[in-house]
Amino acid sequence: MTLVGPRAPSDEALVRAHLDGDRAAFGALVQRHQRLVLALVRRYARTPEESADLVQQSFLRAFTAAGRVFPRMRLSEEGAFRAWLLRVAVNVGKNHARDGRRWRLEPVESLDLRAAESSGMTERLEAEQHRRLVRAALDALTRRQREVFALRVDGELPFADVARVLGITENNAKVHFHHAVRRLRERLGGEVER
Amino acid sequence: MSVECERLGALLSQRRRGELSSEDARELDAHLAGCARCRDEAAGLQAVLAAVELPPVSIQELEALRSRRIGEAPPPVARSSAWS
Repeated sequence: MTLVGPRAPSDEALVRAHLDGDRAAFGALVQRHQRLVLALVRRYARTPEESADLVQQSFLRAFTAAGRVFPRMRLSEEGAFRAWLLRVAVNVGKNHARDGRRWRLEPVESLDLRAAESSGMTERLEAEQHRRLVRAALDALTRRQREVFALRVDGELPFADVARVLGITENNAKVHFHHAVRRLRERLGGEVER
Repeated sequence: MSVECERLGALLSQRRRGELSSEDARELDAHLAGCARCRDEAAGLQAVLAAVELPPVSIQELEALRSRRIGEAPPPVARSSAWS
């Protein structure tokens, strides 16, 4: 199946084929979108395997709801499936972070810092501490701000695309991004001035 | 905030990733030179993006993804014919 070029089937055509029992259609959709889904969820994973888990979960969750969601979706509208999948991926990442709060909040200070220094682990500890601060700051954003920020920064989507995915205007997406940046700057304080 | 200012966020994040065309870069620099508010916004945005940016996707991540063979196991789907 050709996935690129003018003769490539649209996502929506592939979704229809999948629902009609074409097993290759699902694979084609995965192949087309898995890199972007990975970009959206990897922030919330500790290991490459966990990232792959979250990508898998995103596709499975998006398709498990297919019977309920796809018929209502305007599949004649280009981009409808992609928008749905990316919204699912952003939420899978966020939910994973929320569910993992217990381990994430395990204090770095509880580790043996002297041992860490002597074995050259200080930089790693600092990096981990930084990662936690960033996550906490992202957690403090409103849902919409987080979605816009993730799609724009992690997904590298243009604002027009971010707006299409979230069903908001482009201007609205820019405003949410602007507020998200301002809030992150406040929350991260000295971390962003380094 | 003017339309010109609104484009700034997108252009700045593109510049960080080396995606900005030379034409856009010139336009952005010209705007920043004359707009104090945007210079401040730009400094804030650059600092935040530098703090939150993830490293590029690693070979290990791609291999873990590939080995998962996600596309080979389509989930069962409840059929419906209510297409729009």
